Amino acid sequence: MNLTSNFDFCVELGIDSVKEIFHLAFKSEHRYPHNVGPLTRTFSGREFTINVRVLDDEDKPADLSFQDEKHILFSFPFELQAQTADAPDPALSEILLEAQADIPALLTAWDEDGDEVLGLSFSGITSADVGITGLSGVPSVGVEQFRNAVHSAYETMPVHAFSSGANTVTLYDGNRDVTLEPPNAATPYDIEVALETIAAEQYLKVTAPIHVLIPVVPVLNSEYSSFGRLIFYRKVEQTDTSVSVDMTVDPADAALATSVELDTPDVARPQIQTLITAQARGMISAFGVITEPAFTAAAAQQLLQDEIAAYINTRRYPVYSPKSGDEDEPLGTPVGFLLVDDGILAILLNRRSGTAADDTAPDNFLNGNELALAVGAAKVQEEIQAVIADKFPGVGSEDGELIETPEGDAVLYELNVSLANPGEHEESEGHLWISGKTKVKIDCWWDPTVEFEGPVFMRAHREDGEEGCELIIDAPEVGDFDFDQSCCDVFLEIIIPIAGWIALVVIEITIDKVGGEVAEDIANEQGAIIEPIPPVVNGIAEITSCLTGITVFRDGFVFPGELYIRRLARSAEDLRGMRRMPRPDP
Amino acid sequence: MTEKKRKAHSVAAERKTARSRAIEIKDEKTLGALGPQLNRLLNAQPGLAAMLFINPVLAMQEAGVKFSRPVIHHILSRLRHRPAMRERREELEARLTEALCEVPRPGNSAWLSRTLFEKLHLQPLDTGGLTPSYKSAHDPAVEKRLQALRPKRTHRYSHLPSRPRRTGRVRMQEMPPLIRRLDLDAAVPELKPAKHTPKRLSLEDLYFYRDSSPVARDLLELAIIQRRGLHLHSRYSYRLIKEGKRGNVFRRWFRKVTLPEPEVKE
Repeated sequence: MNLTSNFDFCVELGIDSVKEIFHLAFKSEHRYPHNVGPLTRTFSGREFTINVRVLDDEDKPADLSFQDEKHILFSFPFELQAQTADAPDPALSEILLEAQADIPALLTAWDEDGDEVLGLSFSGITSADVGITGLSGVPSVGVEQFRNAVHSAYETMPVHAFSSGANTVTLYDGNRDVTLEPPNAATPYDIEVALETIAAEQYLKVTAPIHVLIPVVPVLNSEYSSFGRLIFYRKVEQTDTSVSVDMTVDPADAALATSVELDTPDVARPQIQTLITAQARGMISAFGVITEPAFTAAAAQQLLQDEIAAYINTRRYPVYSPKSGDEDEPLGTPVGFLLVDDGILAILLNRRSGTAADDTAPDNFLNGNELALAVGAAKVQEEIQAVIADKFPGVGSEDGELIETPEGDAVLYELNVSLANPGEHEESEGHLWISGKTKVKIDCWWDPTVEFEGPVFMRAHREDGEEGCELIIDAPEVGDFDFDQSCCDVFLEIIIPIAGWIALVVIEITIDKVGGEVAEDIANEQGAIIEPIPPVVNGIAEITSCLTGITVFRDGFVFPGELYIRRLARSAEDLRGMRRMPRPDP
Repeated sequence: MTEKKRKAHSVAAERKTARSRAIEIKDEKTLGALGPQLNRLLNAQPGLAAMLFINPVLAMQEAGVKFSRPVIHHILSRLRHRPAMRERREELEARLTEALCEVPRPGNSAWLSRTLFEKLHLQPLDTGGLTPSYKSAHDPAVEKRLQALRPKRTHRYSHLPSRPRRTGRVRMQEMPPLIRRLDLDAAVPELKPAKHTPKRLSLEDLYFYRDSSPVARDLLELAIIQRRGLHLHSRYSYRLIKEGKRGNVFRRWFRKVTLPEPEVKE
């Protein structure tokens, strides 16, 4: 089993814990401002005010998943509000695009306030990296929007009565201009619009109510007065961000020429209609160019991608903030790997050999726990040798190490401790395999030399008290030793206390190196107050962790544990939940 | 034949002779004289050598050695305790036998209760929940060296607004009774009288009566010596262990036991 790759230590956290830290980080406004803007953007010559909102609540939760060894894919609900002050259709003056944005974050390390931090960075994210799903709110511009736009344009016209000589054409749109004389009695009463597709082009057909007054009809020398309608076509132009109709440009197609229909029969009516039609162009031009903000789905998606990339590419959040307490012994840069299939974040610490190119993802040793620490076999062996050297300095020398007890003496010449997997040496449990050579002192007889080997089982259990949890390193169990039998103190002096010390030293050093804290001694005990992993994620969360046991593998020790995470500072949500929101002054 | 081969051949022949010939040892003098020969005999049978730690007499008998009863008694009493401890045990046994008018049996919890409360009329003490004081498993110098291996204490994360509650402690469990040593010199707490007289008294309970009576103290020391002696298995137990039907740490752990052999003479 690969516990620590080419590193000394490894911490594994389940995806649920990573999510929990992320949600807490996300509630931090200074890291993740939830409201960005107003920003000014210009689309098709029209100025827009953009506001971006990113959400993570019960209705619209943000989420994450492990994408590959080095990337976490975040899924954020985004809202983008685009406002323009002069949209012809007031309903189009504000659009709200909503979408789920999938954005990959790189698992990497950086320095934050002097601390090594492993976390997730969105640095370098471009629009192309932002995946958009569930896009909604893209406005569709149809006949209704054009009708509103035309009504709006009508209202902005300076005049509605157009004169040519003594002749007057009055343009109505319902009763939008009540000053007009005669009052509107035309059919249609309001300006009507329709969208028609002709030869694969879209045209806006406008039917506008009018009144025509000609005081002296030439030749007839009589007055002509009639309600009627002006009918004209204008081409609809669509861009990525707008739809426009230029009322000043006649269609080239003769079939779409402007026409006038007058209601009052008269012998001169055809001539009069032709005359008014000729004058109508200037009247129609008064509508100007009607442009509606109208994003195509592709353009809306691009807009979102651009704004989200701009928002996110300066963001990052720490997940793990180890901090070496010893300035002389800086903690190696943490290197993270994601075990995608198992949903595990693995953090390697203190590279023992090779370079970054040699780093590989460790195996899953979390085994369903919330937290697990591992220390590699090489590091364990280093500590074992240190304990043996300090406990039995003579071991390995010609004279050996004399062990004296009231019950008997022995000289220990060799002592080796190796790690073994479950299943090795016919033992179902992982164990220390201890071998050695000793000469046992026997009174009145020649001293036998004993070569021994056997398993020692390392066990620990969790106990909870008023001050928190406690990991008790059980007395190491010597394989096949039945405590109901008589003791052999000299032998057990060699095996048991040293194995206990190995466990204690390895655990404390692991905790110390993975960034937890070995804070203080427990009075008169071989123990300490510990924080198994860093108790804080910079500025985000406070972590309470408890180790629950020891498992021995050929590749090292594993300490499973449990994790409790809480936010460092209170948010508005917390206060609301506690019903302690600030109240207005009475 | 080279000298080396001749030497090896000689040793092999001698071993063969030893196996085929029964050795009879009737007294301590013969035992001492034939010791090297016995060692050679046992070395030739590796399976038996480890059994010496189960019961040396039975192991040697199995190798073909016959012992007289006094020699058996001599071997077993010598091996069970070292001389200083043996002398102390005999001294305590004699003193207690005289004081109690019977052979002391401090390993028997019922006998111990009767002796303390009925014969010595000691006040039963409420020892509930208390454990005796034990000596460290390491001497102070080693303890100091081992302590230095542990990481230095640190106070990190000082910028935390408040210290997190103590989330964890790690410590070693006290050593199991048979490998920890009662500290006979440590102060024993003064205890309140118990409401009831216990019918049985363990060695750990006896520890709290250490200062109640000199006899109680002697009983405690004798019990410790008796418990810490090398346990020599019965013939029945020996057979079960040898056949692998009963677990035993020596049988499990000792791969090879080599006893010194005499120089082979040319």
